[in-house]
Amino acid sequence: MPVPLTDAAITAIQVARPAPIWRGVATIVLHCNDNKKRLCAQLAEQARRAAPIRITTIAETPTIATLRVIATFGDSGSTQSLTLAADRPIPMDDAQGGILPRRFVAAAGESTAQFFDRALDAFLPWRGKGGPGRMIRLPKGETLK
Amino acid sequence: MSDHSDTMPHVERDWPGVGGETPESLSLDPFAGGSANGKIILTIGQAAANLNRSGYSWNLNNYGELADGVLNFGFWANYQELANSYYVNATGTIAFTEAFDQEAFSVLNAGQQTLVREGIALWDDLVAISFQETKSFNADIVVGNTDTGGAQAYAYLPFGDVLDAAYLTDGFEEIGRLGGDVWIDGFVGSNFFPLDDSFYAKTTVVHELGHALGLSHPGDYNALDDNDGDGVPDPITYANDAFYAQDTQQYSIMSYFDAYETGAQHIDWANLRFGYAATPLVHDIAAIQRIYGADPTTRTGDTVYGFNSTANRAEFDFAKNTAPIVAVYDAGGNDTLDFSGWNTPSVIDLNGGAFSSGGGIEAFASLEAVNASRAALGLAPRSQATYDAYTNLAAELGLTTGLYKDNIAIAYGTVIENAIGGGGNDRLIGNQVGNRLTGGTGRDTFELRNGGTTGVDQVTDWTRGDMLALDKSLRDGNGDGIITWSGATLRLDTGDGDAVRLTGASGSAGLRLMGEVDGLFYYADTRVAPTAKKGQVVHVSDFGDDVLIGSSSRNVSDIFFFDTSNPVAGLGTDRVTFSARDLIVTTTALADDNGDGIIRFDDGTLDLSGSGGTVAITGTNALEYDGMIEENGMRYYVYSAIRSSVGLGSVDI
Repeated sequence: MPVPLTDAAITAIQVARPAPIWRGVATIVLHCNDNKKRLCAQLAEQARRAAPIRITTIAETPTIATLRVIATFGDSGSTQSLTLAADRPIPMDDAQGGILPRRFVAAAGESTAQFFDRALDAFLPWRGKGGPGRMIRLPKGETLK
Repeated sequence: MSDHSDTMPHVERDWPGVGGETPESLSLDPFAGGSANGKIILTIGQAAANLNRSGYSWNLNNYGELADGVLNFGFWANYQELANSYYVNATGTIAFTEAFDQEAFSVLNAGQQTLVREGIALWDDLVAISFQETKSFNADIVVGNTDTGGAQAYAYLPFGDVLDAAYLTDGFEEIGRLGGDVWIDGFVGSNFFPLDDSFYAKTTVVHELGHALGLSHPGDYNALDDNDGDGVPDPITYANDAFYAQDTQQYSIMSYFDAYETGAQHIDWANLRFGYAATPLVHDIAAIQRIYGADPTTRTGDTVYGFNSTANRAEFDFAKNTAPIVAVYDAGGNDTLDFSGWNTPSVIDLNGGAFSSGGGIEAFASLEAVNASRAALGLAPRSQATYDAYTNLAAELGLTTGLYKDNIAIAYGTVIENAIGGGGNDRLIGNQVGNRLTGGTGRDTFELRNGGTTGVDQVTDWTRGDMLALDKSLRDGNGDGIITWSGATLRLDTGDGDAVRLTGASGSAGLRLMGEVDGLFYYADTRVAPTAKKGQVVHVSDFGDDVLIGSSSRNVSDIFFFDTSNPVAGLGTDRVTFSARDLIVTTTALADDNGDGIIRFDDGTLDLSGSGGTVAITGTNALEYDGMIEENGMRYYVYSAIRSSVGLGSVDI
């Protein structure tokens, strides 16, 4: 696995603008497009771990503080995939827009739990392992150039 | 015209209210050293320096990239370019996340690239250095899409070579090359649509380019800050995180905080959406010019901003940027701010650093009207729930109209000579040079700061319903409140030659002092009141509490005039002695609840409509509506005692 390297100097030099899609979110309603209840429940359970806001899979009356996350599970032969998108069911601002569908594909040998965690790490900002100004050491023997 | 004696902006206007009551719609800047919202007010110089408190700029330690006065910008053409760039160390074993996460990378689409070019052009207009588009691997500022980890976008300040030695051990030879690069989140929909001015995608790009040039946020907050360690970015609020009062999007596009925190109104109520700046704003302009110097060549001809724009920038063309939030910088010529396309009340303040207000809607729209307007813009319809949430927001903010407020600014050091109003009751505020002010239709107010220097100004279309506002009262030799003059111009003082030519006014008829409001003296055209015929006396109510006593002679008919549609102030608490041969004339209709044409006030006090005020009337407790006269673009409503012998025909306008 790649190793994130902490570097306070560079992170202090980058400056970010907030994404209104996440502003004021109090509840995430997870909606699974496919009738795959087991996968949906597993995804929700993993998403709830250490989540600072409430996450539910039960439909409820949305408020301006609701974020709707739409999960679509797919199979391509033996390869598992997951597409995540989000919007605000009661939008207050066109700046909120939505999170465009983002497709994740399970890597070879990756368990469903590992795969979901990787997708959630990329999708939920409080789990973000990416972001600006971070160096990552590639696995031994791999190079980008 | 421009006045740049140095790169530090300075304030030299005369502000009414300084040292006394602060009028509602003024910039906070002239009140530096004081406080607002519990926070210190910085001088414009302090605010500009604060935005570059990092000290980073392309002038310093940046490998000589600015030696030729030109900064290059470009777009990542493909992932391979990025993987072979300074984002990856020399051996290819360590990468910054932007290069590591290939799946998150994407090239800016054509619309996004256009936004960046527009944003670069806006910053280029402001500064003495120039910009040139080039291939990404040759560019100082390179832009791409990535996963920002929860932000809308981010950028690297131009930090130069200061970290080169530290990163060399990891194999990065010139880590400072990251400086100036901009990354847009490629998964956030509002970065891709709408791409119009005053929407979030545009403001995001202009904001990030501000970082790329060396501007920080006004405060040390960050979208990804997690100071409490709960794993989620902390809520950042004006109340908790802004350390000075002007840290809002009224003053700086670099701010996180809504303009309403400092009293501006930038919500587009016609479309139920938040408006965002399309250009750098007044503090940004001061800050960037402090770093790189002001561009003395920008729009040096005679330029029109607003409607009928000749600025060659869509941001300043209000037929295109229909809900504008902009700041104007102009280096020379005889220039105009044109609000003629709006029929709502506007405020045009020509002073450098000041804010003008134009556009929006007076009455909140129905959901159906909102969605029709949104459909015309290609926006998704609003639901009833969103409509209700906005209704609650309006109540929370105490808004009674959907008019924009403080949305158009003039940069410090920029001189705009002329203003053109629209169809509403506009207020046009002159600056220190000779201004040409055109009010358009409606009852307009022309405000000239003769307490300092206001020059020799011209009002091109004075009508009887207009008003002149001055911060120093005119000399009134006989103390009757009427100011007359001969010749073409009305002298406003005896010191520095301030004067105004009111084309359409009558010097012999003159102006009437209506009173003082918020440090300004208001003068109305005497001809706005009815003319006394033989046997008549006209009494005019002003902004104060007047006692208007009718004649005791049976041969005299008194006309009591209340200009209730004046655009400035109420008419106070007046007292009138009234007889059956007298008339009351107003410029808005009095309330007639049952519509029978009889206005009853059993308690003896008549409530005036329009701008407000009351009249305690002795002699009657009911008036009969005689009819309305339309003259000189105004309406006059005539009332007399029930079954009296006087009426509509008795009034001569």
